[in-house]
Amino acid sequence: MKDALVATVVHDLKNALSSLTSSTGDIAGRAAGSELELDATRLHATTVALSQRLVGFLTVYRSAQAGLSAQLRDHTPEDFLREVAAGLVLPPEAVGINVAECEDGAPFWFFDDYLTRMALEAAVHNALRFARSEVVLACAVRNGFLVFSVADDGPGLGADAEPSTGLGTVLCQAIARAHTHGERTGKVVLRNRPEGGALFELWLP
Amino acid sequence: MPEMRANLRAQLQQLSLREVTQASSAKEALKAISEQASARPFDLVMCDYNLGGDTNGQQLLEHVRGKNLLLPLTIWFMVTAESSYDYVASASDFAPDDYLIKPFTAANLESRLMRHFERQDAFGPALKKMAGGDLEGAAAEFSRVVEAGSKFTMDALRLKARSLTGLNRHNEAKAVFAQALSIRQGVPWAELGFARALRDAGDLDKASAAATAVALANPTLVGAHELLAEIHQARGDESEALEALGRVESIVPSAKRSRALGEMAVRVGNMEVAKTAYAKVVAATRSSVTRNPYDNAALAQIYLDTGDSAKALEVLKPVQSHGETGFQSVAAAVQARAHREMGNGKAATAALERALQLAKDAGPEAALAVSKACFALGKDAEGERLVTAAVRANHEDEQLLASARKVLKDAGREEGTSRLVDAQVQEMLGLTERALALAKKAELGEAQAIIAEAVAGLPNNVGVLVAAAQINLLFLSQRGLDVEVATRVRGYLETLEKLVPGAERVVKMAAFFKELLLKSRAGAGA
Repeated sequence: MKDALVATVVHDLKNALSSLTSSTGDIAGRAAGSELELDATRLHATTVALSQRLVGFLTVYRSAQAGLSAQLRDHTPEDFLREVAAGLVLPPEAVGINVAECEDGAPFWFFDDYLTRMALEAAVHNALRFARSEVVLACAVRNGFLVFSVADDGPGLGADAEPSTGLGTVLCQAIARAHTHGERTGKVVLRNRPEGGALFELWLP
Repeated sequence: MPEMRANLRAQLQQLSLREVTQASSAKEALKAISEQASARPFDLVMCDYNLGGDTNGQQLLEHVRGKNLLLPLTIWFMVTAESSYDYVASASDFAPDDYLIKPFTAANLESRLMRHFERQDAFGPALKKMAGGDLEGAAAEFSRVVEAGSKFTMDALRLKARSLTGLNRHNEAKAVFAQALSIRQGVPWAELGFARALRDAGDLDKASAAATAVALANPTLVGAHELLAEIHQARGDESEALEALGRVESIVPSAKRSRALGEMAVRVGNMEVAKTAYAKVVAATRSSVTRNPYDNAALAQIYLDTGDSAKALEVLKPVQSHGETGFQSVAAAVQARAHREMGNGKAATAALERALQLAKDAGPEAALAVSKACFALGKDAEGERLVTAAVRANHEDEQLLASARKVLKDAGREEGTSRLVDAQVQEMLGLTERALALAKKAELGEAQAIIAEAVAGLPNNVGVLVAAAQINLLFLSQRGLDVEVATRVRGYLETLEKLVPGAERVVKMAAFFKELLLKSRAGAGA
């Protein structure tokens, strides 16, 4: 099948899924307080996650075809992180998402808020697969990079879980690479936390 | 689309924003914004980039902001599809306050709004001063935001530079852009602003190099190519300007940009490019709020110049009922030439008579269009009279003078150029110079009389109006406040502001006039 056809079909699916997501959101809102609340919230979270994965796939596809260009504008990292956390649509059984106070925070930094949000959402969804009690979002400035991090308190890297497509990692790496400043390029770091659990870091120059 | 608007309305209501006006097209939106403009302008506009008709969200934003139909405090959110975001966001430096990429949740919308309300709090006093025309005060307020090391530093620098540009303090604006670039290299708006400030300060070589570098680094940043076109034009490199305008039009096609390309192509004599560009304008604005019958008239003239009279008549048909005198005279002139080419002598003569009648109340551009028809139909004396009148109406407008020369050249009457164009310009210059010389010799009364007569005969001649304002300002500064003279000066300055908005010498005279009035008031109070 031709690439262009695949892209068109996926694009159509994305639009249909967007419309479905909007409807499930509406249903979830109306079901609040009723016996259907949990099911409706779960349904909505599932459609949102599917929609995000499809947009992620399209972004990776676009990146492979023509490279990804980042629209760099100044944003306040801590405000941005709170926006990302507030915008997450999660199933009822998900653990809590907390935003840590940003240490050595910069009042503003240049990055593409749309792409960065996409990367962090993918990282959060991955972290939720392993987290036991919470996922923590944080940011800091290190060695001239703004570092967004997503930490979980699960078993750490290499642990067995349901199989993953690896789309999230490819997406985050493409988004990191799209951020450049002079000679420096963004990067993704994955490591275990000394206190246990895994840590995802998105370094933006 | 109706479903999306309903969703959006529901999301806004969840955020307790209850007074929501909906519009289903650019036309409806413009109507609502215009109606509210004088009563209570909207606080927030949420506009889809893809409006489904001939006008997109970016064009609507440029139109509305250009006409000052919204307050600087009004927040404009551009809603785009993910697939067009890059293109929409990278191309324009005339940017909305924020972009929302579909789909978004009420929570996304709320956090964005909160950020902008916070920004409004930080910038409120400065933006109010900006809206009130106190750019000096606004620049000082923005400086305070920068000095505080706020998270809105970059935005404050951008707006401070804009205020300084508005005050024609281009070197200071340049320093502010440089400050922004010292914080982050390569920020497109700062690079572009720096290049513009160089141009505005008169350093065309450096401006050209800087604009070229910005355009190379940001190939889709339309403002960089627009600036290059302006620089080439200022240097008289019309072919290069045409190329730059071609790039502008291909990056963000819009009626305005195709029109600019068409105008330049006509001037350079590249009729094929001109035809394509104006055909696009006419097609794109057919049912749009930005439709302008002069585009049809321009396209009709291009068809005539390329030997297609039938098409010239056809393209005028849809706008024939437009009642504006200038347009009607141009349309009649085109009809006269077309009928003449098609061998309809009677119809041609009747149309020319109508054109001549209408041209009496029309501007210099219309006079030139009618003069072309006169030459085509052998009414040479009338043609010459109209060329002279057009030149005298605004002898400082280089583009108009170039058009006048071209009319004579196209009519095979180049030998008349020195008599009909150059001599007229010299005469007009002589008149204003004589009045100014008298004023300098302190013969103010005579100078005022000469220039008042000139203004009466040529009420829209920029050079004459500038001289009139200068002479009367000199009177006020030497003899003290005279209500009649001050009223006259105010009138001249208002007309000039309409004819050449933001021109440096007019801004300077307006500032001087304001100073004189303040001094006289202070004197009266003491």
